[in-house]
Amino acid sequence: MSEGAPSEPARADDLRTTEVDLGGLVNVLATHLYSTPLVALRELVQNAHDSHTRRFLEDPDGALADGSRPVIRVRADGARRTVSIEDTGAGLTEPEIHAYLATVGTGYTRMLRELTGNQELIGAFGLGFLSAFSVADEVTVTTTSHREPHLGHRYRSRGGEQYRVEPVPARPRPGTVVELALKPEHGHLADEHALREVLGRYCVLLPIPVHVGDDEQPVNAVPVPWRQSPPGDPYEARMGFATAFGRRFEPLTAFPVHPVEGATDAVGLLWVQDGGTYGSSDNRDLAVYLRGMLLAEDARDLLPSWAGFIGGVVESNRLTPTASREDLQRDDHYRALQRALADAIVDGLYETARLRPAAWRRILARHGQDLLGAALCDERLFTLLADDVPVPTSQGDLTAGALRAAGGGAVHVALGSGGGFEEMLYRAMRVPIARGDRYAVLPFLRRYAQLRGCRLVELGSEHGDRALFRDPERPLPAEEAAWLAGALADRGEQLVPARFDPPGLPLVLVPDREAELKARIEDDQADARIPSAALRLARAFTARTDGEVRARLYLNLDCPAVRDLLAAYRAGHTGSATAAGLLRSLKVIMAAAGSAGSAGSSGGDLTAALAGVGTAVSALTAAVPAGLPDVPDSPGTLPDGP
Amino acid sequence: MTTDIWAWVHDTHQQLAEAGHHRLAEAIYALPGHANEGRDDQLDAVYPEAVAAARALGLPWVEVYLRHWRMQNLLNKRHQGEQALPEAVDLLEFAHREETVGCPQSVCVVQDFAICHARVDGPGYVPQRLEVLGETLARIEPGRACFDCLSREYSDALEDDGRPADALSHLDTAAARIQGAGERLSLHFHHSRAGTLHLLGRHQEVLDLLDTAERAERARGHEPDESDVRWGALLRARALASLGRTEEALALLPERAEAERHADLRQVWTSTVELLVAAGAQENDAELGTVLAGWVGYLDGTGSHRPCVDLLLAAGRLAVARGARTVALTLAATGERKLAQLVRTEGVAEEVAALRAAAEALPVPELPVPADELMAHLAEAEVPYETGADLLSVALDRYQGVQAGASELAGVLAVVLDGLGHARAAADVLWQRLDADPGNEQLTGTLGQVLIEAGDAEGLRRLADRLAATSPAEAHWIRARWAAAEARWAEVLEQCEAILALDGSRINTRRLAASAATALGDHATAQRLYQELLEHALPAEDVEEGERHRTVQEPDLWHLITAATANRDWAVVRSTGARIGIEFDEPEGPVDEEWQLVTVRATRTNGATADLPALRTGPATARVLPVLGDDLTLNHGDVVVFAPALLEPYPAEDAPEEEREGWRPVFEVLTLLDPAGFTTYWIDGGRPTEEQWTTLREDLRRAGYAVWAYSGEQYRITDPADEGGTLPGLYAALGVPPTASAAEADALLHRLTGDWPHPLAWLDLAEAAGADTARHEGIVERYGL
Repeated sequence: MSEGAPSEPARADDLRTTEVDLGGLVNVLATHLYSTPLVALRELVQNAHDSHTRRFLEDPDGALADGSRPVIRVRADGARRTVSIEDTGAGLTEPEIHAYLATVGTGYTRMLRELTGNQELIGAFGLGFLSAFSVADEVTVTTTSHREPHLGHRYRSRGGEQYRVEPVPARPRPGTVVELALKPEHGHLADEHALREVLGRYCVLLPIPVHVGDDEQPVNAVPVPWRQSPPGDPYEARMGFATAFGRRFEPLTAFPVHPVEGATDAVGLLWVQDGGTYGSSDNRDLAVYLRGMLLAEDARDLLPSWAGFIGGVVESNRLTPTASREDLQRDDHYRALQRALADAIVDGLYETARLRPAAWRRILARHGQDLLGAALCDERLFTLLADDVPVPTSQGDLTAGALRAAGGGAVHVALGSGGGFEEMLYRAMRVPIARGDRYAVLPFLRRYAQLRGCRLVELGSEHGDRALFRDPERPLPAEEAAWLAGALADRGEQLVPARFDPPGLPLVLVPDREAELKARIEDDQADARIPSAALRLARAFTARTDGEVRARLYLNLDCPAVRDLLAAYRAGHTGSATAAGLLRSLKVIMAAAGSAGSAGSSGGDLTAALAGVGTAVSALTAAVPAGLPDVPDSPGTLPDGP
Repeated sequence: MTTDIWAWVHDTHQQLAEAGHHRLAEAIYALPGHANEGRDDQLDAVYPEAVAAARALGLPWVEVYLRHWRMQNLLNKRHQGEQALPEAVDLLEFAHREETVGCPQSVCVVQDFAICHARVDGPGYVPQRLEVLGETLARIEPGRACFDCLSREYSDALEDDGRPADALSHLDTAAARIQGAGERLSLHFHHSRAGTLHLLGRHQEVLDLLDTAERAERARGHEPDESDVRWGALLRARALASLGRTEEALALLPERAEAERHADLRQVWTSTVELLVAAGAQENDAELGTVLAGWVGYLDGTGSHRPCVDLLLAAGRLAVARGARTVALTLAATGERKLAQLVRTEGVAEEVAALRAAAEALPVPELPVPADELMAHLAEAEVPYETGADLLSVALDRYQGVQAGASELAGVLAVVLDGLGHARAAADVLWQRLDADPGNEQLTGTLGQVLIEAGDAEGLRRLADRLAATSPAEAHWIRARWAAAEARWAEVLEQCEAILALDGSRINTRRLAASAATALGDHATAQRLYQELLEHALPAEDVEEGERHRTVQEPDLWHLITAATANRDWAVVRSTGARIGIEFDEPEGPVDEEWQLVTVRATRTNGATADLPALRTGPATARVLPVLGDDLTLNHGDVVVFAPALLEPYPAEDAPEEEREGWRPVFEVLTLLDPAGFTTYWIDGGRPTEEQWTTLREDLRRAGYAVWAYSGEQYRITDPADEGGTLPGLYAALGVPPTASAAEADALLHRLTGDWPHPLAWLDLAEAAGADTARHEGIVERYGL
């Protein structure tokens, strides 16, 4: 049949019906199996690739003798709303057209792979070609088989249910062109810009060059660092690939994935992404390729859940796709690959820390928070990160080592559960305090303290707070303690002589949490709210404490003001009561500032305390009564008296 | 009232995500998984931030939800009892306030509260638990997820009351009601039912039930989670062991390490092991005993009193079975102590008594040697710990009345018991012994050590207070060591000074005090203490073995050199150096010589360490070589004092030649001695030729400047002449001496690099010099720096 001859009108027996109910199937494919219409393109490029592989298998001499390199070219015509995929592979004979373009589930590719064991063939389900109908109204396949280079055939079908095959002039070289007349809703696919973007990712690992339009440069020209060994620094090659491939973020560093003997054949590249998206720490991004073709765009579950900052590409021939061809079966190979990837990340981070300190510092600065959490999930990672990863503190981000050094050997962490006194005390301590209410900080520091054998002071816990208050050098005589209690403590407050930092702080009031809870549980209003049996049991618990001590008043014996007060008291100085009154007022004012509304720890009457300050000032600034020798109080710090 | 908790969770997640609170939104999804599947660390990582966020945003329902799931984890996975009770009560109250009572999870909080009592003493609180759960069950529909959980908890209470048949019928009635409401039973429900069937001895049914339940889960598309898988295996293993199918049971039984990781498995794991041991299928050795003792101690600490007693009874039975008399008696004593913490002891008191009786009925071993030779024998014959404990107990009995020997034996017995996992019992042995022999220093020393290792602050305070009256120096020494263990250096110094005031001849006290002074940066005190140490030390000749620590050791001399160096007391540096054979080039004056290249480890301002090449200039000094950035307080030319201990060992004999040749000693920087005053500015641009670079370095050096290249072969910069092309780059630090101004430095750089083919940029130096920065900005732009 000569080229250009008009095609004959279709005879009834040419208009064949495919062997399964395609209307329903195509619908299923379009709406359920494939998440995006782009998958159809992928399938067709895959068929083109397989066609080349078949040619090599069936006709190795011919394939090479043909002179030119195998090539796949994808074109789009926006005006005509068409996309075509052209290959120079094996082509199809007419019986093959009927057998493989029209039959679902008996893909020739799979059969061939089973016979030959060739892993380069991609197609597996025979669904690939049919997927074309999910985006196209009409599909035209023009093909010339290498077996019959002088014959040409054209398959044409609207909707896939019925098709016709007609003779056409032979193509100049064996091969196939599939042309899709796109459905109006998929018209945007007929855009070569978009195709370059999509196919660049889909085909990046295909050995056969894939061109878009008339481009000379194939979309898959980036050297694949684990396949070729390009001249120069392998690290540069990895970074180059990662930069070309990573869509959302620039890579900070990249490291290889190697096959693990007896576990997984997967090979590829992982990288640490620069930056994150607002609000989510999970930016895991892993593309999985099967025999060179993108199988799963977002296989993030293969990466450990803690690795939110990792992107990567792996290829493996042992993973099994699900029927949708977009996800992977969770089988033994899958799990082995999960383990291998976790190891590869840890190895890669170790290498980065060792060999690329600048990149490592950027990674720490960028992903510190995620790394804190990650360290908890992997022993080796913890060892690597323990000294390097920054922890959020009251004085900015610091490493645990810096916290420890600034804390005089102890690491301070605030649990953030406490009321005002803690905040105030911490501010006064002037040591950096880790933010225990931030992600992963507390368990990280607990482990750090264990690893480095240092003390962790958990401020806001009973034990941690106690660590702030050291015992006095020697106990206070009972009589002095009683005087101080009378002068400084309000009802329900227990005076505890102690020593603490900073020495400038004379006293601090710490509410008793058990007493607070007891007050709430034993409140009459609880009866109406809490189911009665539960309430009885809760009250059995709170009945264990008498609730008499509602707060502890820690008195700082290291504080010069307290020492002076005690000295004055011992000397029988008349000003000692006034001075004590001032401290008492200070206590109330500080407690009021900190404990807004917290029941049971009000620490006395604020109005009375303020009045007390006034009384003390006027007492101190009154003219010195005759007969009193030098008053040790320093008038220089007070306003001049009248 | 919203009743579908998961619908609420989903809505809340959406709302939080839409409002931009992504982390809290994520936490809401992640937390139950972490809690339920025993990822305790992950839970601890997420929880504080989430609960703080919920409070800050004023979301009390979310707070109830978060606290509930954490409570589930504390109770069900970590088996906390008494320890979690204050929070359980607090949460109960919080979940029933006006603003929270409508939260669907408030019901679950009541359940948490009941579970907490089940942990503390399940059988003891049966009536209360039934009442609390019954009251709540009556208020909710069988279609709610909580009905499933509450029913399980109710049946657990019936089991604790010794009524497994009632428990089973309760579960079956609940199952019918749940299914009648159109809901499915959870896998947990089936696991619970499997537990009840086990109590009824219906082991084959356990196996069948687990198979069916898991199949049904899978058919619904639910893969069992990690915890479900562990429990499925464990429950099967126990059923199989009960049926005598020991091989199959062993194959399924989770590894001991799994039970170490997950406290919830331990009770069932142990009872399965008991079955396997009884069947001769598993070894019953001291190692198993030690692990179980550790678990008993854990439950003791979390206030899970009843589970603690149940576990120690199992451990006791196994100890009796292998003839470990002292261990079994120790467990019985722990049991007796724990009984006092139970609400109801009926049944269990008899079991503890039976354990004691069985332990006492074990044969008392004969001492192979006289009691006073026992210790030497134990060490020499490498007697296993459990046997050793038995022999020591016998010897201790014989020694009643001979104080010194008995106390020594008690000290060793305590160490052995501690090694067998009985930390608290070890301390108890010593406390008791201390009553009989209050002045024994070795005893107080060992007790102090045991308490410090256990982190028992209360015990240490008690010990120190107790010693304060009779042997005040000992009391201070305990406090000093305790403070040292917690790096409270000021207190270490204070306590040691108090000892020295009482007894000026102490040597080790001075060592500890001096190390505290060094840690505090108080080198004057450190030097004084080391010099006093030298005065008070015994002469090295004819010193008995036990007194060796009272002689001068070489590290003492090195420390003295370090402290004296920091204090610039060169005469002492020289005289002390002479004692360890150091030969100085110059006979007097400050030591500033050229020794060898070393590495000093400094701390960056962010706390990370930095290894810096330096030239050693004396026994404890080195001059820093590189020009450094502002993340270090040191800079080129600074002389630092370092601690003379090697931080990295010399490479092993068989290490690669390269490693051995490249090795340099690494020392820790203690303090800055002489700052050289260099200021760092960064220079960046195209890499010159090797020759140009060498010339630049030489010229700068002659002018008193320093320069240090940071970039390597891989540093490339944009080539302005070739789009997409790159050039080799140079990134280096310029150290400007204190004698030069920034303007002079700027002019010098212009002069020295002006004719280079690619210009360098030094933006910050130009700024400091008040020069025109446009040139540098242009270079930065053109070369993409």
